[in-house]
Amino acid sequence: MALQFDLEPDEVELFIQEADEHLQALDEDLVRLEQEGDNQELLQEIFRAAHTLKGAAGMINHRRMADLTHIMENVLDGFRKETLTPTPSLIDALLEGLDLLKILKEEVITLEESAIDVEGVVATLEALSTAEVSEAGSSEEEGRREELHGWPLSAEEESRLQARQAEGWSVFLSEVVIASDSIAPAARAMLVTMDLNRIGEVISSRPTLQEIEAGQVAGRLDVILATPEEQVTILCLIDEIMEIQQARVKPYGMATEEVQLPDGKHPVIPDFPATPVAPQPIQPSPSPSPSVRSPEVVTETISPDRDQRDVNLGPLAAGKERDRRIIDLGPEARGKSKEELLHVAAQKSSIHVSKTIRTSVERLDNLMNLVGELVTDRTRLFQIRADLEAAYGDDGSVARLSEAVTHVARITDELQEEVMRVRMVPIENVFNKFPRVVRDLSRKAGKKIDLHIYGKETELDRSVTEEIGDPLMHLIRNSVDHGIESPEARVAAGKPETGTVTLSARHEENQIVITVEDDGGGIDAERVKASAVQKGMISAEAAAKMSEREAVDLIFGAGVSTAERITDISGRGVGMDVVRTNIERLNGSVSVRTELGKGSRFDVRMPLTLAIVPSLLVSLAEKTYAVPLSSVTETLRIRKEEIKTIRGRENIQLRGHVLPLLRLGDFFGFARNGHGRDKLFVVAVRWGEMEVGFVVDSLVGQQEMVIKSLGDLMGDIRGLSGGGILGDGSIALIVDVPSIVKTAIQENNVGRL
Amino acid sequence: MFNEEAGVQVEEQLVVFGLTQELYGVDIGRVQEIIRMQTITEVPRAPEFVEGVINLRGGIIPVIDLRKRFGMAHDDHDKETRIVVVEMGGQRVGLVVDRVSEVLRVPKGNIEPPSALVTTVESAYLRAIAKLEDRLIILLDLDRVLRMDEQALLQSTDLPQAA
Repeated sequence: MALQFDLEPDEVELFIQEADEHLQALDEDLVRLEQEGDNQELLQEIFRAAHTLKGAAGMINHRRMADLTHIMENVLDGFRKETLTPTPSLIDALLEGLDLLKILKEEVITLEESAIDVEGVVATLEALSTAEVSEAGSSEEEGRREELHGWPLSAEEESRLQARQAEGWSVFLSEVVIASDSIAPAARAMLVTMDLNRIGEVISSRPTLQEIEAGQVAGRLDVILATPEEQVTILCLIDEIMEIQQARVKPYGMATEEVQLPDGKHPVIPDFPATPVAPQPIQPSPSPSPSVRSPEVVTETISPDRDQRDVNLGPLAAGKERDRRIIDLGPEARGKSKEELLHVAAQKSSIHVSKTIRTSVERLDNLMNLVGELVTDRTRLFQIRADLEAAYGDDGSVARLSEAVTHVARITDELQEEVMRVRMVPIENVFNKFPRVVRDLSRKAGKKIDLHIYGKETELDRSVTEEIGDPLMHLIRNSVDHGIESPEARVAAGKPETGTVTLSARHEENQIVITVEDDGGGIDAERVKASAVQKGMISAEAAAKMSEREAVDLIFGAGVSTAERITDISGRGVGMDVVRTNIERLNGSVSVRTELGKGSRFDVRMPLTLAIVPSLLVSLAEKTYAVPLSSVTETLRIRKEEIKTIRGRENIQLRGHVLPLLRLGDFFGFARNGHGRDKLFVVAVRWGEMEVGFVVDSLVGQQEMVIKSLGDLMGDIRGLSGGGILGDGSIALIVDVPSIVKTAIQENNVGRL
Repeated sequence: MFNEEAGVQVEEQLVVFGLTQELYGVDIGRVQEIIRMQTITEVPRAPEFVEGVINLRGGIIPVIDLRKRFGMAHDDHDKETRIVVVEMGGQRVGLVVDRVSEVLRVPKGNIEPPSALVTTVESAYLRAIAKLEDRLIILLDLDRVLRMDEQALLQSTDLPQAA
């Protein structure tokens, strides 16, 4: 069934973005709420996010989304008013509702009704919340209401109110101050009541309707209104009525959360009965609107002190009342004021208000590509300058050109840095979904787990955040499922019942290091070995000779699992190999440390950006190759005699340990030239826990390579991850370290392996 | 050029190039540019028919030696050698050819499917034959020329050397 929503195609993206933000915030905050319990500030935040979502859904006429947010908001309101307690089952239901909302919001794009059980969740939430209320006792609530709002409701009023609430209407308390100079305050009050009845049902008012009819109005009117509309709508409606000095609308039964006319100051609601308030000077828009708006609409006929008013009104005073109305409260102005109100509401609901613009990632990518080209050209310019200087010495033009080149180079560097910075986002965006994940998984697995997150403000390139989420998710799942033991097992082992998973991020040189650590049972190297032998990955003899660390590293091999039983979380032996493959594809690395009984720690190292790869240029068979510096640990120059063979494989000793060598020329199938050379260049690279020395013909230098694909046609070439353009316009192929080491191990032509 | 009534193209515009003594043609719409031979960076472990990659104004594009692809005898590149850059599935690929001779309009009536006589394994690349007064032009199906899976087929068959 095709759905229709009240929003323009160009608004869809904005809607989705906003919805995403609120949904994400709710996701995190609900989990926090469950942990922290009664945190009013947090509750307010959650409520606001839910409220804004409901508003947005209502505005575009997304029925199912609005219904669901509505009941969720009710439950949250219950938390806030302490008529409900955030029990795990209620939080579960709310989180489930959130998940549905995530799907529902997509309907704006798909325009197809998704087959999800919204009604079921609504019913669950309703059942849970009413059950709670009856337990919590509504008499207590009554007391609160009375305490908050001066006058008690009659039984008849109360029943009408409850009937409306049951329909899903909201209840608001509107406080209206009628202009003190109004000649017919009772008529104004009547008008307000009638208008409010148009958009809802007036449950009760002070003064009462009878009093109003009798003309007993002292300048202030308080109305309890049940309505399906938003606060803002009520406010706008009242705003249109003449001679209203002030209006305030707040959800009934709450002391906080109110929407006011946009202004800098906090309007003071005079005590009841209202004391006359001096009319305030009117400033022509668009200067900040004064807190008291209604004098703008005071008419000549009903204003007793017209002359004085005219002076105050200034340029606006000229013309008839109707004209003024148009100027001040015409449809555009009204529209705007509503917009402003919404804006104010939006700002109130957002914790961080910063000057930002939204832009598409695509544009940033394009910008990055262009800068990449510029970086290449900069290198090229340097080369040309060097050539010119060599040919013409200190010729004046060459010197000036050289100066310009230096300047261009500096600007290019700064530009690159800025663009990189623009693309940097805090890893928070990735980390934020994990509290929910850990909560759900641990509940499912019957474990008690605290998730600690550190360094979520650590920034990295957007492209990396997009790719790092899945591998991290795997690691977290792994920690929850395999790492942390059951509460019983933990107690038996003398550990606290509640396990801890720590997720942290930090910068280290030009990399981001993300650590997933748990205080669980650790990884049993023997069991990993057994699994690997059973899967035929390694021979039993090889397993016997393996160090513990090497054995543990096997968990990154395909099909290895130490889980005794398969759960739907993990344990099928898929995952860890995918984790390593994915991370390495991004020029990153992952390693594991573990101590049996104490826990495990996974370190993921990633470059800060994927677009530009700082590389070490080496020469192989007279061609230039680039080795990403992220993998390089050091470069060595060795004498041929230093090479010792172990069972025919070449190795050297490096500070006491054995570094297996791999001749890159052989790997790529080049004929060995300079075979008899005395000195050899070795580039030591790290792959996981392993270090390998690549033997190359010579070292050329360093360059930031803008990595470019070699094209699909090439397929997946073992040992190469792409190419980049060198200063002289020629191409350097970029060496794929993990793939080379892996392939070499498979082909068994690397040193001690 | 279009036949107004039928709304169909009544002739094909081809870029014609030479490989050995034969003439080949590709649809001009697929040709992005024709450049002189330039330094090709060899890519180790790449599929055999891929000559390497070149830098085309800052972009890296793979280059295929059509002689190799078609199993023809190798010939050293000379000043006539050109790289025809074609578009294939959104990516650019360079084809090394002996020479580029001309751009031709050939009426559809002069184009016919390859006869069974010339059908060998390699004919998978042949889309049609354009008959002109004094010569034949072999029209290539670029998608097939570049398809990887054809390569296996090519290698597993003992191909007669063309021409």
